[in-house]
Amino acid sequence: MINKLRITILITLLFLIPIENVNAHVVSEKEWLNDPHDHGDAKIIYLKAYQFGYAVKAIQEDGEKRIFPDGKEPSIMEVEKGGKVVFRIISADVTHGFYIDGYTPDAVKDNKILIKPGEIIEVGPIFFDDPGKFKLRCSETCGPLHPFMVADLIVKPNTYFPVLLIITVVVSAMTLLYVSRAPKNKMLGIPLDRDIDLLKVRFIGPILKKFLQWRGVHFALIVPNLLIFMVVLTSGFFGNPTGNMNFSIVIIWILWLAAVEILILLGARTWCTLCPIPAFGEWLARRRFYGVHKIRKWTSIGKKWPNKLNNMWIPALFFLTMSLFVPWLVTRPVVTGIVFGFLFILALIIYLVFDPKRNFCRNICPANGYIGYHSNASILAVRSRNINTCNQHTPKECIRGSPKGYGCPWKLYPGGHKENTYCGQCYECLKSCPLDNMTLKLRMVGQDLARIGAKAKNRFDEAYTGFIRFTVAIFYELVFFGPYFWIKDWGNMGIIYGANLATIGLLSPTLEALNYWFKWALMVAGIALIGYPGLFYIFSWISKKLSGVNDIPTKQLFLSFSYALAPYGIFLWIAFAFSLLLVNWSYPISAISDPLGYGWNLFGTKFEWQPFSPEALPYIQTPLLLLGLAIAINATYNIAEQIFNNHRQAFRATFVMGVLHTMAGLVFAWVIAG
Amino acid sequence: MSAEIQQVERRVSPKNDAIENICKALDKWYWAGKNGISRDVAIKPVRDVVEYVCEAKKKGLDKKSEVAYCGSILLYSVLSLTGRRVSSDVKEANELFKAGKDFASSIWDEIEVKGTDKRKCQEIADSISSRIFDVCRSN
Repeated sequence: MINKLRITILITLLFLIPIENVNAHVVSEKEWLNDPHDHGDAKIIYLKAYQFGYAVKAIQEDGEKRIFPDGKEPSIMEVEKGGKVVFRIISADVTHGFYIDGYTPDAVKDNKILIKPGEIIEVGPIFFDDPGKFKLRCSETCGPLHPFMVADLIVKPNTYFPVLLIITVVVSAMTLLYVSRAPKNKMLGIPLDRDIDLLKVRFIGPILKKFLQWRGVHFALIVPNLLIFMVVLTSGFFGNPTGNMNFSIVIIWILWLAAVEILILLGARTWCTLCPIPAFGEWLARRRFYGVHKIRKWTSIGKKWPNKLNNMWIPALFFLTMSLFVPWLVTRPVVTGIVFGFLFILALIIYLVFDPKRNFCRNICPANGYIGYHSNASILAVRSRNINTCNQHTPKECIRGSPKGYGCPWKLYPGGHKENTYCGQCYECLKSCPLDNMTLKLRMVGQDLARIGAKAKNRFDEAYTGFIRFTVAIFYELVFFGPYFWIKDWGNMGIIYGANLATIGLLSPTLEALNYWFKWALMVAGIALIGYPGLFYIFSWISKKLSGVNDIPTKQLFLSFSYALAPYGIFLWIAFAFSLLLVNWSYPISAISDPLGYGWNLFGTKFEWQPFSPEALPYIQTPLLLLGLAIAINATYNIAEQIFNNHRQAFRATFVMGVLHTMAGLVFAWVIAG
Repeated sequence: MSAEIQQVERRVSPKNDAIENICKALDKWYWAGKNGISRDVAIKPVRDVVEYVCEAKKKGLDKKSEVAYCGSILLYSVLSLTGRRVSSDVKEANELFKAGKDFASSIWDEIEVKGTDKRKCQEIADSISSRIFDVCRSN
């Protein structure tokens, strides 16, 4: 493909203007659209790059030019396989770049194509001989939303899309067929009652055990993270206002976000083990960095944490609120700095005022809600080896604490707990237990879901955490890596500036911008809080009717079945994490050498943006989607089995909910490949 | 031992049940088979508990929660003196815990009467430890 590709760049300087004058339109549309060159049989796409998208102004094919009226320019282009295309590009504002996934050869990657204001750039003819959906991306930092400046290019016939739709339906049907054979307590053929005691695994087990029982483990893991977060705060407030040039943005919203999603599946709440946000409060309250204080006197007023707040509502709504401001949050360093600074201070205050436990983590932290919720689908869990031993052992050091470890800071009875929702994996129970009865278990995804789901009577907070996370995963993939820039612009309030502390005033929106933001907020909150939950409720009602069981309230099915979104959601989030990582992996590495974005290269790791095979993304995301879908259907069946205690009824209910899960899967398939 | 403390000791002293229980528990799970053990080492778990109660009282901590913690102090002290980090016997853990807890509960009020400054606590710890050692070993 690369051999066939010939790129010629013709730069026509029409006017000499200072670059600062970025808003001037120096190339008239007439001149741009009037192409004096002969491109043979190539299709000519007249592309306008702007902050932050690409608009197709005109397409010339077979001697005919189709011009799109202002405001109606598409950002999705179609090309026939084997077709030749010349892109004739101008910039409407600042300097932009031009990159096509899978079609930009290495030679051009090294000398990126720049579209400067006042110039017309011609790229091509490019031979599109690989069908599929490809992204056009900006390769030159052009403002805060630069990493999300994309357009879609579909090389027809895009057979992968219909094939993916068919595979999605087939996987769904096969999973339904599998559960129709009444598998007892299994997940896709793997028994759920089996697990591996990781601390007893030969060679690794004893080392891991010694490490986790070492009192300094928590401190040793937190301190490096704390230092990183201090750099995050510093760069957030004082670093370069442009997001992708600032450590706070690229470390938190590319590396951290992606790593946490993957960690949830593989390591449950491992992030909570490492998280430095509550560290100051915890150290101060205990008066120790890592040892167990000899006398159990805490630096805290010790007020009782209100029972009404003992749930996941605040984390869920906090996460949703952050989603409402996400275009600002993930692109403006100062907004990230303010949010994380606020979290650090709030955690400290809560430690000093309330009982010195993890109240902040349990009931406030916006990440806690979703990490805890999805952790129930993780393959890792802290559990007792023998629950009878715990029940017979009256002292309950895991709750009260012992000279070797603190009582569970997460206010649990670790010896008896059977779900990951609120277990922060601090490993205090491994240290405090005098019977060596606590361990780390490796198990199949979904071991606890059936039991948790079946007992979920009034856990609307957890159900809504699931709905918010699930819908937002699909929405983010569509908005951030999709071609519909107007959605991003609504959330962004149309502001083209980055911001640090010195330039925070640039974020002042106009009334019109606020009006747009309200539309965005209504759309996000509407889908997450009403649209999808409403659909889920209707399907729960149909599943009840179809199962023929009338004495179980629809509300219970609605809440119980929602736990199937724990594995489904996390697989979709991991798919989104791959989008972030493959496209933007070079930013965090560069930021290590230039954390404040001042142009330094401290450790020699700074280099130009370079995506890592982004054209492979749909093929990486597809298995994640299919696995998530299959596990969600199987988990629904396991939950239904526990509720109905009757295979026939459980299968009928699963069938209905399976249709909904499949529909969601098809939407995601459309987002990634359609 | 000062005359003042001796007087108070006669007035308030640990309940016999608590002393008996801690004797039995220590004898069963710690002293058994350790004939050559020195007095100081033998009585260390009891001293640990007494010292903790003194400190906890001085800091004004809650009796109910701290005497329970003393049960764990006794257990962990025994585990450490017998070269173990953990016990494989729930019965051992439960009995040592209960003995430590009851003992701590019984000396909590006594210590309040005698005072919690460092020197006095030291004297109380010496006195109670000696008594327990003498009583238990003589049985």
